[in-house]
Amino acid sequence: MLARYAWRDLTRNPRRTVAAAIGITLGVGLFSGVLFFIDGSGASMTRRAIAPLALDLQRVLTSPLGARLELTERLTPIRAPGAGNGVRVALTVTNHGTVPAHEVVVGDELAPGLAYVGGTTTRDGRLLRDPGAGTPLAQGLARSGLNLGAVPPGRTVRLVYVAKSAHPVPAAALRPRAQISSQQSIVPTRANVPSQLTLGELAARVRRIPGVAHADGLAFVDLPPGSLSVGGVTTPDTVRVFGFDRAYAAHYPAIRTVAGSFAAGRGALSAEAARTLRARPGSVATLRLPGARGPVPVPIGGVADLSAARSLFNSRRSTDLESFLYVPSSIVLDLETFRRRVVPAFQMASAAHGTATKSLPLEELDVLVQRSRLRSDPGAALAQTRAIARAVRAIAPEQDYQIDNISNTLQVARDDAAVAKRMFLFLGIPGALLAAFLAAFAGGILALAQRREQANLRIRGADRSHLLRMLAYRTLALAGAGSVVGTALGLLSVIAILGSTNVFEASTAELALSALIGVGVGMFTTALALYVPGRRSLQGEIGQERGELVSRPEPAWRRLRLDFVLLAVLVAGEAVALGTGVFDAPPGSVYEGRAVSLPTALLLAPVVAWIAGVMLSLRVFDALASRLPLPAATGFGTPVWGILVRSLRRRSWTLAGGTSAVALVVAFGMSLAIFTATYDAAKGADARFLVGSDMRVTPSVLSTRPHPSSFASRLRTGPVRVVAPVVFKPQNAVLTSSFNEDQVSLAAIEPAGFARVAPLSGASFPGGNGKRRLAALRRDPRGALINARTADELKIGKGDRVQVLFARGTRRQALVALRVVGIFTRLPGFPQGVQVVANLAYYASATHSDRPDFFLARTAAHGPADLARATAALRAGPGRGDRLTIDTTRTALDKDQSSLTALNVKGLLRLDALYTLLMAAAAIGIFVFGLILQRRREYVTMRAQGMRTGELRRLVLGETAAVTVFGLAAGMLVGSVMGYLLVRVLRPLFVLDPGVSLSLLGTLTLVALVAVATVASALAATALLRRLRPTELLREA
Amino acid sequence: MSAAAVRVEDVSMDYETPGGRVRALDGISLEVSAGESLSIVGPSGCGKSTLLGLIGALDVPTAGRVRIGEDEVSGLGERERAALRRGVCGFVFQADNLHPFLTVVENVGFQLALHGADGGAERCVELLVRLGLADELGKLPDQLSGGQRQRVAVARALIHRPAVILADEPTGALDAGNSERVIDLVIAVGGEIGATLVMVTHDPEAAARMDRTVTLRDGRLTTAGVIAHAR
Repeated sequence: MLARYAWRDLTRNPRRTVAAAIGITLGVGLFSGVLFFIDGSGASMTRRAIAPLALDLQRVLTSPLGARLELTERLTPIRAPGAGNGVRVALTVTNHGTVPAHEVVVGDELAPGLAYVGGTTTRDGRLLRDPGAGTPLAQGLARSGLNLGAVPPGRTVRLVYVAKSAHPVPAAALRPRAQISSQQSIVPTRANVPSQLTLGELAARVRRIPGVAHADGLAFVDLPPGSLSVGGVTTPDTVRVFGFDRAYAAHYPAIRTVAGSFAAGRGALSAEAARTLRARPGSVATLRLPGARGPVPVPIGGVADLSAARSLFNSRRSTDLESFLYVPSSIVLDLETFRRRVVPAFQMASAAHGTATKSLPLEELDVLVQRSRLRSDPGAALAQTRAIARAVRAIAPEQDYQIDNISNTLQVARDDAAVAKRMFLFLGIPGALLAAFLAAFAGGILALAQRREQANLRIRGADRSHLLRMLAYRTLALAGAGSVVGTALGLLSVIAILGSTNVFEASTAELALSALIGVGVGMFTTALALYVPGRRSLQGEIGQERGELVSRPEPAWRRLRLDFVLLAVLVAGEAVALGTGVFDAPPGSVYEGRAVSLPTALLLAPVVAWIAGVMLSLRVFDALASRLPLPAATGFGTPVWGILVRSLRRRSWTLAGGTSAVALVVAFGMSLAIFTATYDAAKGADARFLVGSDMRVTPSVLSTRPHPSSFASRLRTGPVRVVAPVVFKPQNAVLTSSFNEDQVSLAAIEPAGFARVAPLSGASFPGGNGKRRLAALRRDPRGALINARTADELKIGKGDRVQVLFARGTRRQALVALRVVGIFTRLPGFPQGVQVVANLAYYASATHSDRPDFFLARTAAHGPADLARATAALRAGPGRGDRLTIDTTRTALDKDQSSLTALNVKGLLRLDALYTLLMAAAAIGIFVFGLILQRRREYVTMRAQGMRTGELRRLVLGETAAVTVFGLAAGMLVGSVMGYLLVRVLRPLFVLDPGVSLSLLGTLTLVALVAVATVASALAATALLRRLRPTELLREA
Repeated sequence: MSAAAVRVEDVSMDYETPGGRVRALDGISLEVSAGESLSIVGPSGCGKSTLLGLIGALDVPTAGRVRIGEDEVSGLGERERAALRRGVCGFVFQADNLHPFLTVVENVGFQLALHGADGGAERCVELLVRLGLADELGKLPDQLSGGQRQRVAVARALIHRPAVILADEPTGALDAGNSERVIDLVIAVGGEIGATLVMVTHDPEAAARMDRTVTLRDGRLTTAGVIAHAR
């Protein structure tokens, strides 16, 4: 019966029920939405993280020249002379190859517990002299092996020695430990390993591993300038010779055939080489290989655009695997031809005693995994790729090393996902807190409104336990319905933001768990928030409604000065964090294998600032309201103003509930608006910094037209205002100081133009601004700007003279002397890094070449539509009939492959902003209707006294406006502090240090919504007042 | 006795309830002369308060007419009815309905302010002193006893010298001593300002102090119930 009564109470008071449930629904909606968001965005993390990966797995052969040196080791337990236990170690070196192996070194270290028996080492039966106290096979501190010198083809060398032990030698200690290396195979190989597999054999076995999509062999070697010619024309640049089959080209679509085809027995030239050599399919190229008896003729079957083939040109050095070291003059042979013609030539070259070939062929197996079979969660996908990598590595493990790009990437994505989940949860916490607060706020109002009904029930015989049970039923119904509807709303809103495909990429179990947590947490927090004030109300004086004025006790937080305590903790925490450099973590990067490092504990700082700030603002509100001047000393004042001022003065604490609700919601919304604006601005700045300006125009390698510096003037079309040409290639120069020299990446720029197009605000020039440094470079054509790190390594200072080899490795290379006019730490437009910046005019005159690699362009406006217009103008103008690659800040954002992409912060912010707006409206609505519920008798009395509806409306509007205006002001202030703290904590998400930006539109939207909600609620409330029956209300005792 | 101050002509009042339409008053007609006092008695739920609300322009009858003086209240708009309430009527209810955030003087002064007579603090104090509330002027209602609060309510109803005083069970929540004192005050001060007094009451003693008593039953006036009291 009690349950039925509670149910009827809810259904017959729909406004009250909706007011109590709406806060719960929205709060739980936000909280569960965040959980679903984590599932949805986490599910796409694997896909997004590995999308840009050029190579999944690489097995790089350690002895690509196919050295056929074999080392076997045999250990035989014997009775050692003079001791109980001993081992006889026999090492056999055999050269199965066709060329001599030079500088063959055999090393062997004794197992623990074994000691070398001096004077027992023999080579082919001849006793060897011991070096000091040790064995000849592990000499000195470095444990250097024994250099056997050259081992001719077909020869065998036998080494034998004896070791002893005081105790029986365990079988495990008798495993082979010897290693062998040579001039051709400098990476030591263990003894007794199976004979080396060829790339073909290795590929065939790797392809059989479950989860492997493709395994293709790739070989390449760099040749000096002048090594490639067609007819009488020779390439002036370094040449790269590739060996791969047609299948490889099919599996890596960045290799584009532009003429002819890849065919066995025929070569394919890069577009640049073909243009330089004036070659076409059907031509015959000639390769000059070191060690070859004469030029190697290669019939040309095709021409390919390799300029975007990252699988071919990405650095193989572990320190910069993502550096794109493009070699324009390239020729592709099929793998068999490479193995038959190129490798033997290098074997011959390396076999010549005393020669050292600068560049040796590299052979590797490039493995692509079946990406569609990878789990959506990066952690689970990582386990899969690691299993594949282990299986690949298990095949002939001794002959090569493996680069597991995909697992490295997924590991970063997994760590990012973990950080994202923590961060998202912190951003979701305010949702849960707001749900609880709005539930408590509505609960408190509901409890006060129900006092009279409860009094009636008591009169009819209901005791306290009955009332408590009814309260429990009501609470369960409200919290349950609010949580379920809220969770459904959360799911729907996330679907709206992420799209159903992304959301349902997450497993059903994950989504179900999130739904359960959403409903569970929502029910628990909101039920508690609803039940507690209801229970407290039951303990109060029944029928007493005036309690709100004088008997309401000061809240505990105010008595305990919790606001000041929390603020002190916040300031102390921030000071410690600043002092320890917590905010200076570098940005996350999948390429650099670095996950986003967020000081997670400090994510609490905005939440603390939020709560403490709002509490403090309530204290201020109370102080200000209680000091409002009365309208007149002797009279009452005008009815509305007189009532309003006195109500605010004497009931400020009652109104503070509404103020706190508005302030909490607005502060949260404001912080989101600030963070969103900062995020947009920072990402835009990051993109401009990476691109170098609004746009980057790169002439395609397939273009047949010249693009000198003067081409910049042709690019100034439509919205494109300023264009600056840039020469830049990775490692295209050598920098020599008086102490040392290093290979560096050099950019040649027009200083004046560059200063106008590039966002120099993001650049760093220690001790001076960028424009001044560029002006110095303009004034001194023989000047140079040097990267600070390089300057440090080469001991270069401002004013020093350095030597720079321009256009390294090309026919036009030129050694020049430059004066250092400035030091920089970073420069826009060169995400790969640049060490030297020179004057373009001088560069062109020194190299006799005016061929910029790209052009940076600044547009009149920077919005997406402006960029699209500029792109269209370029395509229609100078790009008509020419092949230009146009990158914009927009495309740079889309291509952003840092961890940030996977985090999808923007989507979460949109989710939060949506709920903030709804909750702000709900909070004001709850406050106003709560006010009406609490004060309806008061308002009806005023009507009976002769107050007009318009005056009542002004009164309600005045009180609501006072509450919302102060709540808005306090919320904006607190929200600004929160936004600032949030930006600081999330600093590692950005490349550049983000300043705090404020979105005028976002702020105005929030203010407008609060204003509209205030007016609409006040109007609706007064309309409601008119429908009340005064005679009934007024006669109630 | 002068011309009618309150005239109720064939008034009916219906309410919409979840259980259907309910007729609270059915064809009521009565007149109260200026300066006359009338008590309305009857069992609970017979429509006494509804009738008082119609006379005080708090509500509009479903049928019939209500006049106060020359004004036909039932034909006025919301704005005019509010003006009538603030100028012509003074209400006293069983609950004091004082505004909890206003002091005693302010509660009374607010009625004056509504009447357009701002700055009448002295007039309020004078009346309150006369009602024995001299020491309570600056107190909030919470700090007063029930009898004191009801006296403040009486002062509030009379401060603007209304032509019609409408009292709905004004002593319902008071003990006998306070009840008598409140009735005395209403009659005395009302008489001084020449107000017409209409009072709904269950208290026979209070009813007996009025000039006339009418009895309501099931929304209708009972002819047998009209009693003229000797004063």
